[in-house]
Amino acid sequence: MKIELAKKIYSKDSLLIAAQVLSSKLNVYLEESKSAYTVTIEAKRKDVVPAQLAALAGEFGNELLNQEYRFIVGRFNSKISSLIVTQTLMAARGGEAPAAPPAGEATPEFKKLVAELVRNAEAEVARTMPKKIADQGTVLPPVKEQDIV
Amino acid sequence: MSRLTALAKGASVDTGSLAAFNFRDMGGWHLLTNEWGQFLMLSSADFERFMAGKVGVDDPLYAELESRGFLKARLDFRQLAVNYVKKNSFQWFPGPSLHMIVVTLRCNQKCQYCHSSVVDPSRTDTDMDVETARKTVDFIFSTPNPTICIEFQGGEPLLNWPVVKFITEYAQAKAKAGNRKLLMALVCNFTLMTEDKLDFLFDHHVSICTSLDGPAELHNKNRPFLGGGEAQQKVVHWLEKIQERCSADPKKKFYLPGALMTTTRFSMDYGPEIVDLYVKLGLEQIFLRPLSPIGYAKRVWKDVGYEAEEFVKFYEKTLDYIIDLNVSGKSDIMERMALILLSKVVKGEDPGFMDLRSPAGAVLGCLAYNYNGEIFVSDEGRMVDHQGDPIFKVGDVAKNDWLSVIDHPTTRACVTASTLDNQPMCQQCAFKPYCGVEPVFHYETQKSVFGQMPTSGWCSSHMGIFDVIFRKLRDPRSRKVMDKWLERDQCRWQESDAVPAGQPEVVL
Repeated sequence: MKIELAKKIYSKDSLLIAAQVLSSKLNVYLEESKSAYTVTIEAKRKDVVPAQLAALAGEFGNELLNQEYRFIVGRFNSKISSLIVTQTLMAARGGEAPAAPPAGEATPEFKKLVAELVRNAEAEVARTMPKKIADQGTVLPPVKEQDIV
Repeated sequence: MSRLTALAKGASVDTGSLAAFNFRDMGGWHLLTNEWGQFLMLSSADFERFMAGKVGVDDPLYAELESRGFLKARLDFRQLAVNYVKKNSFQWFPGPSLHMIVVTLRCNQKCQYCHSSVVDPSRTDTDMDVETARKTVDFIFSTPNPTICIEFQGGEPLLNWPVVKFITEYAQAKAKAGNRKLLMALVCNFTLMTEDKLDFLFDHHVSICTSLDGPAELHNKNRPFLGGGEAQQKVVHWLEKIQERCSADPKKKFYLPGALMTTTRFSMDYGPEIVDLYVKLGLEQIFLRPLSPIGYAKRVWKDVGYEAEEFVKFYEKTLDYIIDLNVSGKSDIMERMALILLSKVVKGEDPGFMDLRSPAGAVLGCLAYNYNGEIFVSDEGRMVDHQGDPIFKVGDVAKNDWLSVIDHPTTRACVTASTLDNQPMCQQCAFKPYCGVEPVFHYETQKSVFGQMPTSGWCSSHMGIFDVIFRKLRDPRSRKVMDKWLERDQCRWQESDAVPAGQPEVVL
């Protein structure tokens, strides 16, 4: 399926992001002339009927609009959003260098306490827990057929 | 399609007098909100007068519009800034306070939705070892927030009990040495609880929370034991036992157990029965939580999931039932989601709920630690990794320090994507001052951390819940109940020495 999109309205960045977002379902091919992009959409699944392909193309169109609008909103609100993002990240950072461990942790009493806690915990693990088996491979649950896009 | 509402065609607008605000047509009346978190509920006639610039100085409405920051020429910037900072206090927090540690992926239950994506009890290679536990606590204490809340999660954390004990004692020793405030919470299914474990938890001030989905037939369908069997009786047994011990000892009253319910498709017909069970067990609150199609739940969504609109209907019906119980005096049980939103809307405070912040709580407010020491932006991010996609991993306790986590590109992407000023639709929405978006949810459902709000299930269900709450606020009968909830909730925080004043975090 081919869609023609005016360059005046849609940016290449939006097209690329929309294609990426839907890359699990679609192959998207892009050609361009002086004033327009021509987008060719192919479903990744081979058994797709024309109505399903039209629906996928609609999904692509929605995502393209979403991305284009996001760029507009981003430009419009860039000052305030940059301020909020910078403020929260800088506050969360808590300073330029990590704080040194507190002096209380350098005392012999503290070190003795920690050594005892570790020793006790390891002894309890050995005494009460099932024997730890070496890595048994992937822990992913089995994938069902219908989960595959 | 956008769920926003628009002005009537040909409506008269005098932009010269209006300060910046968003609005929503609620059917017969309009909701107005602004960036400072102030709101007004106006009849449609008053809204039209206001928009047309026809509210004069002598009009009783004028003072209200002025005091809440809706008149451009009459803005009290000092007061509005105070309101903004109070509402968005998390933007000034020095790093995360909520640290979720997955001490094992093993579990003895096989829940229908299994949020945590667990493995069989034989997989002891997914237990956190003592060395990793020590490094995890060291990492947590290297983050800058003076208040730390450690929450044990799983799998079923009681299956790795020695490490739960070690982390508790080691963290408390470090908190004492470094003069840090420490809260600890255990989220478990209660089926492996014993008197000895309970004694340890009480002695070390670890609060306890479990999952209770409702009456036996529902809970056991949602949360069966691995290999079959009924779990609900054990949950009820331990809830009653812990309640009894807390009631008998005034020092333990702040450690009353909490319970969380997850709404599946099977829960939809059980609203009143679920509430009745919570009331019978003497639980102070119920949290009507939607199921998220994240991790394992995504795979079984066809069996247990539902449309956002179905959840909103369930929520409204069940909230009505809870309000009726309160009005009739039969119970004073509170609904947690309503309380969270009311704290934001009515009190203008941030209740510490990570998902409804702008930017979201990922990394900024919380971190999740896997059994092997890997660090994720949130527990949901860890679940995505469990399905084979490590996109939300931001570090490892053995290799990374705090600065590399906060400076990680994934952290920045999550913060930027969840800042509502960057979101189409959100930036025009009347619920924006109180809402938030969750990057992991949108990555899982829409393959993008930004998401696409007009088709987002997150947006649909939260807008629906906000609609319900604002309608209740306009109804005097419901408003009276909700005001009482807010008073009680405030008292609970203030009474507890364990909760730091000013920045309580909701432990879920």
